Amino acid sequence: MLISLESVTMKFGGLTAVDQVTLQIKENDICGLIGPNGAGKTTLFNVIAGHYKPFCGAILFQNRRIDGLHPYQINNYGIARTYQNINLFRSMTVLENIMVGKHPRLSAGIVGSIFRTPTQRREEKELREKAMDILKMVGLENKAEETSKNLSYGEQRRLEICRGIASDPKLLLLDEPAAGMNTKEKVDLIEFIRKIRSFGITILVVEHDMKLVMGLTEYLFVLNFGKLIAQGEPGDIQSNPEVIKAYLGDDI
Amino acid sequence: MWNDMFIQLLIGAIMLGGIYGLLGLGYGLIYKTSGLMSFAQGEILMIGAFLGYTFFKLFHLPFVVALLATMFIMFLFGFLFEKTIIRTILGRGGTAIHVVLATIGISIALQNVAAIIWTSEIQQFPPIFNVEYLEFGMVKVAPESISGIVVALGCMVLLHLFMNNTKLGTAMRAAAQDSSAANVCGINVSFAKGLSWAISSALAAVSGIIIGPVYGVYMLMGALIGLKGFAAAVIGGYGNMYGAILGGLIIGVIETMAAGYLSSTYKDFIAFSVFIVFLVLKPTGIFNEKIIES
Amino acid sequence: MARHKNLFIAMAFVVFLAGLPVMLGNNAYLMLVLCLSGIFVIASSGLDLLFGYSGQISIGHAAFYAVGAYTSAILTTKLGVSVWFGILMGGVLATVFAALIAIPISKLVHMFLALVTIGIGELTHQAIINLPELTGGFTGVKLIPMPRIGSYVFDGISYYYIILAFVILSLIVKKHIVDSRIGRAFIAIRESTDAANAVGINVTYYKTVAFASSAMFTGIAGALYAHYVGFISPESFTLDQSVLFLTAVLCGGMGTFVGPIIGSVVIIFINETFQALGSYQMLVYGIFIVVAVIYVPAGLVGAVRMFRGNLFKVVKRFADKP
Repeated sequence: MLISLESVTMKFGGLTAVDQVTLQIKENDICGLIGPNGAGKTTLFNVIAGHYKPFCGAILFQNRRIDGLHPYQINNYGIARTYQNINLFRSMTVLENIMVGKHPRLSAGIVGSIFRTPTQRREEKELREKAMDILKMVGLENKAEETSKNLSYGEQRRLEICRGIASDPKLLLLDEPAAGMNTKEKVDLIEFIRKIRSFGITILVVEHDMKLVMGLTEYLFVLNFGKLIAQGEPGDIQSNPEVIKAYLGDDI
Repeated sequence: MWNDMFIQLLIGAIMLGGIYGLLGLGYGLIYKTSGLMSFAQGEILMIGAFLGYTFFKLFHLPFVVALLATMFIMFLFGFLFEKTIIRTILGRGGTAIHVVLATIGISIALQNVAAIIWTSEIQQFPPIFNVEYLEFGMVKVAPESISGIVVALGCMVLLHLFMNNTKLGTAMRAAAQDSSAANVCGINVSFAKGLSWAISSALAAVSGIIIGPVYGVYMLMGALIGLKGFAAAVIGGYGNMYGAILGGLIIGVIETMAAGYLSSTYKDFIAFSVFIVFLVLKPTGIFNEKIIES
Repeated sequence: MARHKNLFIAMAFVVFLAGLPVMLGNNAYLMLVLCLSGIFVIASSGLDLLFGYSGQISIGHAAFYAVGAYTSAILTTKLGVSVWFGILMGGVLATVFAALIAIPISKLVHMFLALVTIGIGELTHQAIINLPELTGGFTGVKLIPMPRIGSYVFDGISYYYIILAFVILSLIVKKHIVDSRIGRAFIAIRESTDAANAVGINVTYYKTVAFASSAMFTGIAGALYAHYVGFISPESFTLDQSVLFLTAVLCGGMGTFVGPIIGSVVIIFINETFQALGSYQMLVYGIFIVVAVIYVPAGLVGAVRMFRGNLFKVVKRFADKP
């Protein structure tokens, strides 16, 4: 098991957004987290990523407890995430966004940076090269020096995912990566995510596009009102009566 | 002896606390309706004091008329200031820090306008009442201190009644809580914002007229007081009306007692220390107002 | 290519600045403006690191200016240490002071951070006044010496070259910080604290580093100031001074190299030129701030960029016409 949640609960005042969720994700799987709007999917992401400390329950990542840690510590341990509403560093260039994604894997400190030690200079040079390699993967290498806020929506989404994998995470949390994409972009996205998986990265994706979810994921978790109401392979989930009841009227 | 000095100090403290509270009230009002901070309130207090002085001493108007006229003029000033300068800044892509800097610029301009018109010397209010001191046993109190407390209290009560018992006041509270929802309900949020700046200015001007007769009127009188008004707002809970009053009293008491029992040179050091302690340890203040935190 | 072009322009400018005193014929007033501008550039570049790059407002930077100035002044007058050491210690103490206060206050943002920095500035001012055995209280510190090497004293025009050297040094250091892992962390924090956290940046740590490095610049500027004017008193380290720094950064252009330079020169020029007008000078200054904030919210640098951008659009539209 790469990551397991044990009875994780998240409350905001009187509202229970995540209700005793217990699940495990195997290494190298592409898993999906689905459920109607307001089911608590993004909140669960936020709890895993450390943005919230769970009210109770435990999260084990590579056999280490990470619930309650700061987000940057959880990122250091190997979990990266993207956001529902793209959260790029808009005034930075495309390349700089990738470079900052690698932050935890670098070692340059304030002294090294001020004095431009040979170690620091070498590190920066290698960083630029590796960042360009990542950009080449998604065809953004020609826009490396472009300010990221000038990119098209689809390009920004791809960039954010690239920033996420820049730190060589073991787990990547994708929050609605296909939102606002057209059919071709979604096909490219599926290919991209499979490629990311081939690097040894495990993926958990929140998505509303059911066709994409069914085509991409190997295992699904279904949330409703904060509770895990079903889990299993996509085919089984599709015909699960509880799931259908929860979704009544949602998109296919 | 100790008791009498204490009571004398306390009365001074309450008066100071009252005006810190009025300023803090104004800050909170502006913050709640427009999310901004104004650093010009101290100087508006100073201009209010000078205007009151001018009407009362130079034009020989009755004190109450001078008071109301000053309040009215500064009320309009606040309203116009928001409508013109603040709106323009925000409209041209300025953010909160630009507004902060602009209000600092205005405060510098106002200070020097005052110096040019009224010179940089301390002006004294002529006595408002016929008695110089009221005596309660061994305690001597200037009637202006008492009237100051009364006026401050009166303003707070009027504001409370306005906010809670009038249609306009309720509309303002709605706009302060959630401006888009208020807009949808037909409330003129834009007017509410202008009104909040106007009321804050009027409150600052009143504070100037309260403190002018007691400490004199001079160009720099508003600077430190303006900052302490922030302390009052923070301690009580930034944006909370009643918190501002409580915060003002706390600062007023701490400052006056420190000056009375320790040393008057330390009083500002102590006041600002309390301010910083609250900001660091309890920025939401006594009444737990939400603030943006990282 | 572009990088080398900028370097060439910068070097040409440095040569120009080096020859300036001769060109100006040792005009005392202009030398004063130049020296004070240089000191201001260092101080406001420090504030720019904090505000322009890591997005943390400070309206209390006079505190670090004061720590730098008083540290160097006291060490050189009371303990007779060399001025070079005094300047160094001024920077070090300002840095340490900033690091200590940044830890508890870095969680505050926006207006509340502005308020607490004002509080710190006021508190420092009060502390200087209330510790007369150390700081001389209201009377200040007198007879602050000029730096020397052996028997050569760097006063007059040679001090200008010292300031120029420090300006160049600080701009290089600023560049090294900005174009590094540290600088990227600063900008990330400014853009989105959540996303910065999510990409592994220890936000509290880097906010503290931003405060500390920012104070290092302003502290050294304070020390340079103390030795330049030879006499310091609490009056020079009030909220007004902090506002001057902030105005230079905001109206020059935040998050740029040229911005604080332009802003500093303009501010010093206004202050010194209209000095004689007394209240009218301050009135002009106050109105200038309001006008600048309204008309150039992105600073002079931002206005020039927009102008160039618009010019480009106009030319392009003209060129595209059949």
